[in-house]
Amino acid sequence: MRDMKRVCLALIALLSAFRLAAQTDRQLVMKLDDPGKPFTLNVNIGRAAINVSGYEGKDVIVEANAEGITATEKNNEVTVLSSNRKAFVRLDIKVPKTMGIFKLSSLNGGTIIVNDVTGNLELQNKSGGISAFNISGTVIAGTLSGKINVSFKNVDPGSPMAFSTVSGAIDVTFPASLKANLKVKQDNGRVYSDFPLTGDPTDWRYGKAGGGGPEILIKITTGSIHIYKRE
Amino acid sequence: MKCEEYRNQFADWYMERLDAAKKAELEGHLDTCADCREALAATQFVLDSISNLPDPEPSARVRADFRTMLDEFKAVEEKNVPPNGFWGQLKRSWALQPRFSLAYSLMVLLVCVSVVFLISRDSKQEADVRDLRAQLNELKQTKLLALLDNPLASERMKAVNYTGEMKHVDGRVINALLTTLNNDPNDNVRLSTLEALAALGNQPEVRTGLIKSITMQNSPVIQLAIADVMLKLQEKRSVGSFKALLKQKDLDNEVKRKLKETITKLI
Amino acid sequence: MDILSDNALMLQVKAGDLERMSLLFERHHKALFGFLFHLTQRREASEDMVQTVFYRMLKYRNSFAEESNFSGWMYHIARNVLKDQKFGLSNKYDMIGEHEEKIAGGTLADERIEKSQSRKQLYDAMGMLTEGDREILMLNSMKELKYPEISKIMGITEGAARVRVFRAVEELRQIFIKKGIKGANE
Repeated sequence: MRDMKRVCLALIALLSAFRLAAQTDRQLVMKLDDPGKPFTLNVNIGRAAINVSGYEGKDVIVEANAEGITATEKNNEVTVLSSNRKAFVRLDIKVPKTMGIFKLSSLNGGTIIVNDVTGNLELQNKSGGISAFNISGTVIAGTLSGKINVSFKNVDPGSPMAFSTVSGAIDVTFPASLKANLKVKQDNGRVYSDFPLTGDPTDWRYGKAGGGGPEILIKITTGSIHIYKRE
Repeated sequence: MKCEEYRNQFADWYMERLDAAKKAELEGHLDTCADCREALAATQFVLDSISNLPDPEPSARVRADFRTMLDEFKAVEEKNVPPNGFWGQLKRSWALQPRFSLAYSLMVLLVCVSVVFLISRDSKQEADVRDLRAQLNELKQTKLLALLDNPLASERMKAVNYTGEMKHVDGRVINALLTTLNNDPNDNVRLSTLEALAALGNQPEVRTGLIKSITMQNSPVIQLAIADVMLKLQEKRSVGSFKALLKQKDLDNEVKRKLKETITKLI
Repeated sequence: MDILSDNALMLQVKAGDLERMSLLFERHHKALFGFLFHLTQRREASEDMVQTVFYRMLKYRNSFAEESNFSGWMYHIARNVLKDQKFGLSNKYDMIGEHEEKIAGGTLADERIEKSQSRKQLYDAMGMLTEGDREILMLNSMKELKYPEISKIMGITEGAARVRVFRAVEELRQIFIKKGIKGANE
């Protein structure tokens, strides 16, 4: 009985440290401690299709199609967890359009899709693809056998980026004002680039966009790479 | 020899420490002694169990710490070097010279002292410049090492790319890169670290570190990339590790293909 | 470049070429770590002790004689470092889970469970030996050490070392039987 009490007290203490979401029909509304400041979104769920999009609100809203999804918020950091490892989860998350850090990863789920956000994106998948559209900031994306499709509105000029997969395809669209050092490699497939690349086709190819800048690494083993310039 | 004396040699026999004669003698005895054969089987079982204890892998930090310790140790030792320099040699040659007249000796001394004075002033400036450069490099290094721990993958990648701009990359940075290669949670950070290390492939500790890294990599992207790097560096010593990697279960098919290809090309 | 023997390298360190120690480190630190780990079951402490051993070898490099055996000297220092620490074998089972991850190679879940269970039994059994018995069995299993080195490290005669190894093996075998570990009483 005493143990139960201790556990209860501990839980209460824990709950008061973190804010748990208000739940309405499997929709979790996470209020940020400081809505003006940058936020972080962490999602690391084994079998998930993660859909994140920017909207005009101030909260982070998480919708799931399965049981066992919880979310916590502390100091503007929102973490979404799943208690059910086997279930395939589809998450729809709305985030503010202000600066954010996104660490999203899945293994054998579906695609990770992020649209209309600003900030630093770390996207990791295994057998699913990665899509990111209308991004202002930095993207580091890796998967094993999926397609990577990223399109930038603006690029963070001081930050390196990377896009890598073993099989599939990599399509990246940069604004024409891009200033970066491109470093591109593929084993079997084609490389098409709006930015001129030089080098041995069986090894790394290099190109300077806008006179050069931080390094952007693009690597695929089997599949093609397309690098587009958006005017 | 009594059975007991033979049995004392079992451990030696097992570890192959017996010379040919002793080995033959022991094996001859075993042919005739069932009791000893039984005892050997039991001993073998126990020694097998011990030698089958898994080889624990020390973490990458051990090498990094050693490097730091060695660098610091060397730095301290260099300060305490006994007078082998100019003054020491002067003292020695002074003692060896035949006794000239006092005046002559004094004149020699005067000339020596003034020459030393002039030289030491120039070399002090040189030393100052060297010191400053070293300090700057040190500063860059410290910044780099700190950045490698940043929670953002893009910052860690920045740190890794920084090494490409450094004129002198010392052991501490190499160790930090190897640690990152083996431990960073982000595949792409590890990939760019691998490329940065490949650019430093002429340094022996980099090659050794890369070879050791092969069996530590679980991500197919890195496994494939490291095969490419080893082939480019023509590092034949990596074949063993690649073969070990091939034995792993659940290995990606692309990786299997590339490893076999790489092994063939390296041998 | 010729491959120098451990002895030659250590003599170079003694002569002032301290950088050579890093080559000795590359060659030996993993085995040394294994030795310490199997005796203490403590990962972090063993990693720290590896550092201490190498530090002491640097500090006392002048005591390394021409005719000394490097491995013997290193394990002798290791044993002293071990004695300086004061801990017994505890939390064995916690350690086993931890070091499983660090071992290269993947196995199926079932195999892994079986392996770890028999490993637990083995560590358990070894834990029931006296410290001296455990030490001498570990020293015996180091390929670079022969009885002359082992006896020097333990401070006993070669003959006595031989007997001790045999007795320790026998002791462990009896423990195996008591614990019902299969194969111990052929």
